[in-house]
Amino acid sequence: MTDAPGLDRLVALSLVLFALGMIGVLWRRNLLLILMSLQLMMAAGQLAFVAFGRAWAGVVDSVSRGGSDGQVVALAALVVGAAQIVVGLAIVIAAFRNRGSLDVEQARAMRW
Amino acid sequence: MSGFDLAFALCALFSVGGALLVVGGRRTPLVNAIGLVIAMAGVAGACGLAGAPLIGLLQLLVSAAVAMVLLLVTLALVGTGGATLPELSASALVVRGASAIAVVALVGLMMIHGLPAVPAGLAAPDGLADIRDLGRGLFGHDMIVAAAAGFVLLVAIIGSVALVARSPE
Repeated sequence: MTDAPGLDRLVALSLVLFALGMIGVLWRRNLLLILMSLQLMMAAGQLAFVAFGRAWAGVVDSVSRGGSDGQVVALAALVVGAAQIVVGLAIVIAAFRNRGSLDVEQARAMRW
Repeated sequence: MSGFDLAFALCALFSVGGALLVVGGRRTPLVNAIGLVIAMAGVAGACGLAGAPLIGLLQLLVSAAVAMVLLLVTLALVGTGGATLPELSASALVVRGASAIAVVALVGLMMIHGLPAVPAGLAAPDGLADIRDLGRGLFGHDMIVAAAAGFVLLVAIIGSVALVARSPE
């Protein structure tokens, strides 16, 4: 890998954001807030893809083409994140209509 | 402290602060949504600092769209009568919203008017222009990614409309 002085900081930031998002997913019970925490984790992943893609640019010729591979994957992750929030919000609305609450603890219908 | 260090510290502050607001905010989902916008703006700035300004700008756009959609959904849920917004003064909401807009504008201006010099390890290899190279990739060897992304969005839109249009039991 190339010498990348900014890479460690970018990866550390990505790690912190991912951890905070995971804490939100595990800790919060509101479906909307879980969705927001998931979005946070997606953003952290995109940042890691961009940083690693650029840091590995030109090192592995068959994989990396000028660092744009990481950006292509980050772009795909961005689109998946947008699709996730669209479907997630539709599920939130449907769940609220059916149960009158966004508390995930109350969703026990499929619990074994 | 170099320009890169300063800009990165600012973006990291926005990202982590916004993320803490998302995870820790307990008064109303609107505040959490504002935190998400601030966090995503910080991540957009960090992407720009990592040599990916196009991804950063797209993230800014997505964060603005996410904020609008979350705001509308929250208001729609309140409008159904079953949910209520916790007590939060209008002025407090305006201050938080204005701070989120200020952060997005600051990051956007930073990306439009030039980012600090990227450290050598993160700089693009000689002879490769970032966005031009990305465009060549998306319309060349990575065409399938762009096509799949469009298809995923189409399916998501159809699925969400089908979910919401279904009448409640």
